[in-house]
Amino acid sequence: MVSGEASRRALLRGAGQALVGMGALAALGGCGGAAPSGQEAVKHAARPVAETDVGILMAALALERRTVAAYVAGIPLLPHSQVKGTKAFLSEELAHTGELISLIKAAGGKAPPRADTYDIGAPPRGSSDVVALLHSLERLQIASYLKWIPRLSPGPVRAAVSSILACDAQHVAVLRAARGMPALASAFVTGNE
Amino acid sequence: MAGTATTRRELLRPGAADTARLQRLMSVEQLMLYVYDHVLSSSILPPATRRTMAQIQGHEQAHIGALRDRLRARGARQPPPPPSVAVANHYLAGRHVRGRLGQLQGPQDALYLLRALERVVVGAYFVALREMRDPGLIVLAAQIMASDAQHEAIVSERLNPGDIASAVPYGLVQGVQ
Repeated sequence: MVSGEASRRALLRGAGQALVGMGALAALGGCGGAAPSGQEAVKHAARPVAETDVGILMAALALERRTVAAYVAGIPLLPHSQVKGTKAFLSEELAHTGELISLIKAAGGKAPPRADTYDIGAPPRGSSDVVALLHSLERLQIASYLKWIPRLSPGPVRAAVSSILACDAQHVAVLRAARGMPALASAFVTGNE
Repeated sequence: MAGTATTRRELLRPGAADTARLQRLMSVEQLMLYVYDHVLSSSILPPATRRTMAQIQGHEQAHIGALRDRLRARGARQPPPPPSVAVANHYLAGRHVRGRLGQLQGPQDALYLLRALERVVVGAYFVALREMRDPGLIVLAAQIMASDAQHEAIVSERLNPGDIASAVPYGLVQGVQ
């Protein structure tokens, strides 16, 4: 289990600073013209659709928060050479939680507060344990998103969640390489590799 | 892009909108594969990078194969690959990709072109996922979008070796639309 501590606060502060820049980039990159964003689309969705979406988005948020906890717990155990890249991944996981909370709010739901502790299994003892743990959690997220995405509606919500899936797939490629595996497992990302 | 126009008769079929989206996705994947084929048929890349790009080329072939199977099952026309470098360059210009085949000066140029086009492909799937209806196609599109996002990260890492943060710079990967 991971609990709040000074090192986590310090990591999150650093990650939050990176997030400011990333949010601006994401806003610039999302040049979708007049197409509605995920938040706008889900705001206008029919009630049963919004309720289904909120349930899925809450489950996704719980997974992402657990992964954030694992990054926070694991980064202090990594060698210096891996810290910068892993902190960048932590920032991106935090961006995912932010996106999911925005979608939940837009659908009329209320995101639960972050838990004090998250069960990430046996505490990692060294850098290889950390990378293996992060790899398994990222894979679980991918497999879960692939199960959830076809159930999400309206389409812009589906696309927004797919943009999180695609980022997690990039994390998996890098984590595989860090474990000495080929970065690319398959032409079709499933999370089951 | 040529070969993607959907006939009036096709549009009246159930699921016709998804079929048209599949055709558009296949067109952009065909362009992507054409560019990988062109780059790999030259000696512009160093051997290690070439091996990695050849693996990605294999993935692009698999993506096209999967899209082709779905189009066949729907009895729909399959967009052809670009017939020439000139046509491929015309398509690249149409998609606001800056590099041009036949004008690449070295490995950096080739990798910038491949990355730019991977981003366009990711963007095409992002847009398609907003509109698709068939759950099976949605899953396939999400799997391929994630794969192409991985390609983008791998190509970026080759441009800035060891710089993981610049290889995966965005928390929300939407490509270029």
